[in-house]
Amino acid sequence: MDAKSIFAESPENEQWRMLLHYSYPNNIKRCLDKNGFTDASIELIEGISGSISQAKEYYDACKSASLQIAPLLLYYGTTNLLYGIGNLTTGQINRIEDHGMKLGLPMPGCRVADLEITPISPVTGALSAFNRIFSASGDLCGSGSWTAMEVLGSVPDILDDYINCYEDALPFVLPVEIVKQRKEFLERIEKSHFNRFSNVSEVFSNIEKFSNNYLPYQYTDQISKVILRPRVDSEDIGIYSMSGQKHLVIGHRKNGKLISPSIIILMYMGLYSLGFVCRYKPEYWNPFIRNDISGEKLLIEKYLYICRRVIPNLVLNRLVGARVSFVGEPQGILDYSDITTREEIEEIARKEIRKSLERERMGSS
Amino acid sequence: MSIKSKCFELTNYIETTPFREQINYLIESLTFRPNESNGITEDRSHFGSLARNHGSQFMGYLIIDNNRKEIEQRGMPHVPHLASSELELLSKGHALLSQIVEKCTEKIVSKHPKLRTVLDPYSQFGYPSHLIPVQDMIDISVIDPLVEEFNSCLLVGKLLECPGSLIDQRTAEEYVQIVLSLTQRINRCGVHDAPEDFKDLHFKLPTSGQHAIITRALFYFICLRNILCNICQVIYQSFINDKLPVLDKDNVISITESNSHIIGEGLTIISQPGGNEFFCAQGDLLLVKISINSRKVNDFCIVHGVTTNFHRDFGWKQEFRLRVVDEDLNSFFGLGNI
Repeated sequence: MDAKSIFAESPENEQWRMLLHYSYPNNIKRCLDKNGFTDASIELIEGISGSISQAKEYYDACKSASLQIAPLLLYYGTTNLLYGIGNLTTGQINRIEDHGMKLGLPMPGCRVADLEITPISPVTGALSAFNRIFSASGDLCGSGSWTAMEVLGSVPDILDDYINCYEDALPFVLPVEIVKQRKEFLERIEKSHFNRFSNVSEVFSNIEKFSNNYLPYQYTDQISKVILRPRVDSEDIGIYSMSGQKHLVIGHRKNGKLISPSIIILMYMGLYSLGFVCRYKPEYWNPFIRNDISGEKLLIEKYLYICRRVIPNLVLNRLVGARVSFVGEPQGILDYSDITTREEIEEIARKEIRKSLERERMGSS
Repeated sequence: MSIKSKCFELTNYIETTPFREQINYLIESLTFRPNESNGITEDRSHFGSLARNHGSQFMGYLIIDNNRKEIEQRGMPHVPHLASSELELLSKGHALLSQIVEKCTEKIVSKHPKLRTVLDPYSQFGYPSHLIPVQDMIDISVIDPLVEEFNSCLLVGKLLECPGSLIDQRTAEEYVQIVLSLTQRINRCGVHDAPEDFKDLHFKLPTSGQHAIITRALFYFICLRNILCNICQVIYQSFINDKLPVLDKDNVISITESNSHIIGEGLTIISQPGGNEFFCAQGDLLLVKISINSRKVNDFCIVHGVTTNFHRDFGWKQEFRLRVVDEDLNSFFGLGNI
């Protein structure tokens, strides 16, 4: 997916302004027509419009809500957003009858990270429906239970907080540094990111499509970082944090199968677990908010903020067909004044050779 | 059919001979350092490295052995000794290649006798040639199809059309010097460029006249010598490698330059070392098989230069500067068409 920079003084407001474009029936109709869905019903159009409008309301409400209900508002808002955009991109009303997940009852005093989410309802569950639209990972039902820790460890923007918060946790993303050189580019990963893994090659074997898209990694004592060289004509299998840093996704081994749901789906699963406990298990949630001494609360607050900021952006990327990043620099100016072209270098070399030949000639005469 | 295909047919036969196995074992022992799995007991990789870089197939090993004292006097590390049985094997290998060259050039030499040394890719090295029978190594008749194909190639036909009186205007030594000097000038320009005075030859060189005939004949000498050298290289590699080194999607990082010019076609490829291409040296033949941005490259190439690079922050990589060879194993094929 190509990157696209859009000027915005407030990225959060701007991304919603762009999404709300699709809350207007005429725009929805135009978008559906463009995608070949020319016989869209009023019911479909109104459903999309209402879902996106309600999503915005929930997201706005979440901004000023405390941790007591913020997860629930965000979960509802995301459900609306994914439903609306899902129907817009598929050109049909996707029938949803339940959450598509169930939560294991939290033990008193257990960490949020230990909450267990089990995907259910493969046909009409919201999770399965959204997974079919927003992810290419295949059916999640039957994959068993997922811990909130697995979800939190899959979000690039909170990776450092996650590592600091949970001493025993394995991350599910690896930050990649892209090094551009004159004739080629390469990618590198800090060796320290493998500290929690017992086997480096196993990590790479758990990255979906890694061997199709990268040459064998270079990892020796003599090399400062793990070196990755993309294969020619490879596809970009990474995901990007808000700062634009690329991350490789380590898949989840579930019942012997490697599953890598998209980041939207993982975030959605996390929001469900948090929304569910705050709504239905206040006896667990309230003490956590009031008494947490581990710092996990800070991580959850950041997770919610990141979900609020990132999920609409990811949805927008899908609509625009590009990785949209909101920037503060002025747009419309391409400054190549510092770049010296090959022709200019050759001209300088020619002048110098001419001068030196003239000097030689004068010296010999 | 082509010289290339006949050459590969010959290599298929060679790979079945016991002689090939003996040579293969010997060259491996001169290439790799001893380790637990390869059964090599003495580190003679330095010898192999010097011989490979000499770029003259088996003769490289014989020359290094012959020049041991001079090499060590230049401050190079100790050059390990070879057993007499090992030298005999290498001599036999070289004799086979010499025999192929001789058979291929027989027809041309019968018309232009002085071209024997001009076309012989080993004539520049001054290594004494020994007449060693090769019949006990291979059935020599197996090279006949290759010889026949060589003789039917366009360049040989063009050369045979050249009047003997014109070719006789210079001595064989003069021709060898001219051919070597022109080849050196071509090689100095790298794989993506040609000497300035070659660039407009298509327009400047008249279609007829004594000067034009001689100039073209010189280009045929260069091409045919190059073809013979590449034939020897392909056969030599069939003794030492089970598979031809390949640059493909499993090791190529990028093609940084690719172009055609009056000499032929050049490619610069950056790769991540991982297979037998790591040991490639100047003059080796390899296969490039890759598709980039819907452009397909599927060519045999001769290594003009290779640089292996290690940086602790960027890892290992190799840069191959390659000349594409045509169906006749000619890497200067542009010159044959002037």
